[in-house]
Amino acid sequence: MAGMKSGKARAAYGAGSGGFRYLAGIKSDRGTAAFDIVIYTALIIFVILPVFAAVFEKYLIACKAQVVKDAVDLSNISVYNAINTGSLSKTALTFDNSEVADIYRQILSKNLNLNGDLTPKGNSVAEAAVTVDSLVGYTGGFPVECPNGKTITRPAIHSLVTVPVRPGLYRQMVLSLTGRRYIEMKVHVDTDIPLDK
Amino acid sequence: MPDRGIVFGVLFVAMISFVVMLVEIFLPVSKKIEMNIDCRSAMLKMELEGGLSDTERHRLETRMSGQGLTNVNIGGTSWAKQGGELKLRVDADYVYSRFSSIFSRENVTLHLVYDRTSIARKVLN
Repeated sequence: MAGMKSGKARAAYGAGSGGFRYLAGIKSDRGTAAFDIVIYTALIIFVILPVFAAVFEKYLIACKAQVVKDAVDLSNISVYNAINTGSLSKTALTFDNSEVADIYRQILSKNLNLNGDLTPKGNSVAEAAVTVDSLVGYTGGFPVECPNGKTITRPAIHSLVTVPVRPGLYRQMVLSLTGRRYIEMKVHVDTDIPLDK
Repeated sequence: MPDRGIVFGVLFVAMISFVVMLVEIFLPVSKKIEMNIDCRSAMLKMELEGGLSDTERHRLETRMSGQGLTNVNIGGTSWAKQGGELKLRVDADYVYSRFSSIFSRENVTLHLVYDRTSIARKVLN
């Protein structure tokens, strides 16, 4: 009761001497501080986090693409082993087609941590089975255009693989809303055959 | 007014720490990319030379150490005939400092691995 009395007394005193205006000022400052917290939190949640998440995800996807590209390039190079040595003596460059796919799958599965049927092992960058969309060896008739539109002027191996990769953070949430679990990353690599002339 | 200043100060520091924390996430990923690039160039040499020579092993080790990687362990096929499989595995630790909370940092050790297989190339004359 004493407290209430003194509160009333202070209010009455304040009313008479401009104290209410002072109290209103304090309330306003506290309100502004709370408003600042809300603004900064909103800034972090709705601006900084999504921007960083988007940049970081792009960076991660680019890194995964680099890993896959590296593995595909190694697999392309390995296909050289399927070059028909018999025809080389006739200055013709041909591939042993039965060997091409075998060597390619074997090296690709080793470098991407896949099983023989191109399904992923535990620590693979791929989240589901990898598919080889095209694998072509170009040995003559240059210039030729590969299925992805790139002009090839020298003996080369063209390959296109689809690797399902899982995005993180926000993109994963967006993807799950559409009922999908992975992004299908298409990696196209044309590797020149090293001819020593 | 002092209330507002304090709140602004604390939030500003928290926000800067948060932004630095986010930027630091990129460090290990970029270190792994650097490592991959060096290992890939060593792998290319292996494909051409048919194996990992002592010189190349030493060069790779020096480059890994130069990147700030420790406990570098390099294992690679020393010789393979043309068409033979070549393996290169590089293990290394990357120790870096990162924010553990807004006002404290801690050292974190990340184990990086490069493990690839290729085939010794035929160079056609």
